[in-house]
Amino acid sequence: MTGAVRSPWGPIPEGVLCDFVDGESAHRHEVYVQVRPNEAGLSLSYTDDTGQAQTWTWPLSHLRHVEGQTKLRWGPARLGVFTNVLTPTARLYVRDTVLLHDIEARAPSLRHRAPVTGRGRLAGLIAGATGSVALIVFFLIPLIADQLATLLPIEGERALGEKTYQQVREAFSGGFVPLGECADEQGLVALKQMETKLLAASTLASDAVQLTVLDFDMINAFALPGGRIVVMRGLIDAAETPDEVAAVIAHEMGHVDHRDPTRHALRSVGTFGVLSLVFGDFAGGTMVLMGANQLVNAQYSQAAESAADSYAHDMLPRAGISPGALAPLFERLKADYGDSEGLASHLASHPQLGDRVTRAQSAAESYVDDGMPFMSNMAWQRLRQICD
Amino acid sequence: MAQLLKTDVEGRLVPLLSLSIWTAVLSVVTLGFYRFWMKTLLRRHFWSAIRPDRTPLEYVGKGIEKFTGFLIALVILALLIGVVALILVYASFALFQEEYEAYLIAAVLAIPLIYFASYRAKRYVYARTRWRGIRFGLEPAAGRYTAYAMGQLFLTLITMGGLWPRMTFKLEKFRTDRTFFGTQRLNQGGRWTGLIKPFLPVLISFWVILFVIGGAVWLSVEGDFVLSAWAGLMPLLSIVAIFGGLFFYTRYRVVALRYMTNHKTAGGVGLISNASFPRIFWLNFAGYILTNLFTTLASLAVAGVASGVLILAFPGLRDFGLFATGAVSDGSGLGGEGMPSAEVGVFFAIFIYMSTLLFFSVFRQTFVLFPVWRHYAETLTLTGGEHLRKIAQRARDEAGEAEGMAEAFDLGAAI
Repeated sequence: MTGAVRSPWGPIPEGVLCDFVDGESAHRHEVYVQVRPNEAGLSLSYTDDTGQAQTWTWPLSHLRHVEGQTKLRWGPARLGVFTNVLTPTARLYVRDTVLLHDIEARAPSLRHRAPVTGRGRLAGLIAGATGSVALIVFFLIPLIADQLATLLPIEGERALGEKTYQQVREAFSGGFVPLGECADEQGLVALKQMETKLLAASTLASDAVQLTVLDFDMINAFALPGGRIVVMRGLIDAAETPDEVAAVIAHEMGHVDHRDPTRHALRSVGTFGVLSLVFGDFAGGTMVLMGANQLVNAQYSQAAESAADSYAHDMLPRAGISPGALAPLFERLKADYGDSEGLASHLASHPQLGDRVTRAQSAAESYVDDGMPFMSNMAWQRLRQICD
Repeated sequence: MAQLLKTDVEGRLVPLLSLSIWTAVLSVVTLGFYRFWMKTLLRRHFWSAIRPDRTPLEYVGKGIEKFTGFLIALVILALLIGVVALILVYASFALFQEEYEAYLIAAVLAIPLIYFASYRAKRYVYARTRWRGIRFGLEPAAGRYTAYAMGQLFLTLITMGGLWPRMTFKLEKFRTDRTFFGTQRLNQGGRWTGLIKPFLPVLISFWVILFVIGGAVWLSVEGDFVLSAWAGLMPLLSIVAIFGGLFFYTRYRVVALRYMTNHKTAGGVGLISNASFPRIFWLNFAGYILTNLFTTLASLAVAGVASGVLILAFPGLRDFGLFATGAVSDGSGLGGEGMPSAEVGVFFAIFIYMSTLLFFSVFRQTFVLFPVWRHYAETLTLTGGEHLRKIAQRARDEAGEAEGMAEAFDLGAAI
């Protein structure tokens, strides 16, 4: 038994017995509650410790529901929790259904909330946090990543590339078996031949690049840290001549020369950490998937793309290929997919494709063909069957 | 006469289920940003379900303060995690051509941060919890707590887990002795040696695992095949030790909680817990079976509906029937005549993954967390209720950054 000791001979106040706490002490009182419509109030009476009968009135307009406590139940019945706007830590617990309905019907502002304060502060915080995170993601992390990428030794770069290569193979497989490497014996010989020839024409060391073909239906090629260049089968299928494939690879070799993939991989390490922080744990696995995706659809900066293009335009003539070799492929893709088609055709989705075609064609103007094919027709046919 | 005050629990599952479903859906739709409000609503529900001596506990935290706290923590942590992760991964690849070292160092760096964040989070939650209109509170001491915890952790490590019960007790005492109900400071009585007995089986299992690992390493170095019979026993032994260890550790957690609760006092008010390990074990066991069952059924239902939508949109998938979603997700239903493109495949894979995750968390909340919470509450009794009248209100603790840091590390404890 809790509450005040009531004299058995004292008068029993009228009203419904309810639990009441005043918000000042942890002592719980038993009060008799009555709605008094004439005074627009709720009278609460109880006998205090000294045996004195106490009554006071809460104006009905001061009554409030306690936020989030409107749907409580006590067994089969409802449990109403009320407070007074002037004593917001006080609580009146009403278990009597009739009284509860009466109060809810008569009290006019049960659902009023205190006005929201600090909107300005909140807006400032959101702006500040967004700004800081943007600064970190778009400025600080790229800055540090660019510095570190030039310092990373080649063994480290290769290990990083191997890691991302496995991630890419897993991310695009959909199932449990990683995406297959195309390994037709004669096809591999043709691929090696292409690799050697292109490397000889480039400024790169003779072991700086390894070409790999993955059995996937995407018109795409991308460079990974450490010099692995992955060509998707879709690209070889879409190309009409070996020169077109070689021109795409030459562009990727430009990225390898400028260490763009390493920068990009290091950048994404920092960026993913921050992004998974922002979106919380619930998207953890998805972030990995999206990360691998982003890596493949590597959107290097416009400057990096132009630099890789220039690199390709410089080296292609040395390999006996016109720098304009890219143009027909791009134009066919553009006709098929439009200027931007996203995931399905990364090459076609590069911004300002038209510009790049124009630049490739102008670079090709000064090129004089020596009449020697870059690759024999037989080798080209074998390369096309590398995935069979 | 000392008053014994029992705890009632309003434990129906249906309102909780509907609350967790719609808040979880909103969280996903808002890319996770609703989670602060979701947590607030769930806590309100969990708190007010518990009624020591007929008066419900009250959670008065707000979603918006969790959100702002998170924003503040975000800036600090984004800097820390972004830059530190980058440098660690670089160093790890540069020195070892591997990334495990980076993860290891990151984990070691994260340990103190986790203790720091969890203390701050507790302080926030206590400051927003009320019973009989009176606020709880936890003194600000996150820094000292972190240092203290590191010391305890060190002692535990060098004794190979032997002093783990001491750490459990001392950390709980650190927090309890700084906890207030109104003006009344709580006190953690008892002794850490009281936890040794329930911990012994855990320690033995742990040492067996260590011994087996050590033996395996030694065997691989020595290549002594005389002991090959012994080597054949090792996998069996380690499996028994791992499962035994987990079982006994679960038991230890329950027994330790009961011991600590029974030795907590707030002035003349004391606590008695009769939490039962077999009951908790059963609640977890049955709860996870139900959770997995319902998650599977719900995910299948969603995949079935999604398959219907896919077949209507892409007639080429008709042969897959109900499995069209699966075929699209794993790539076998992509790119053909009348089949969707790769983007659609990725989208559906993410959709199914997210909805499965969502269902799991919702059902786990309903079938595991809440029943266990209910059991702990139902078995809790307050003694010395007549002393409560001496306890007065305490001032509001702003606990400014709420649980921002803990939020970032997903340290929301139960909920």
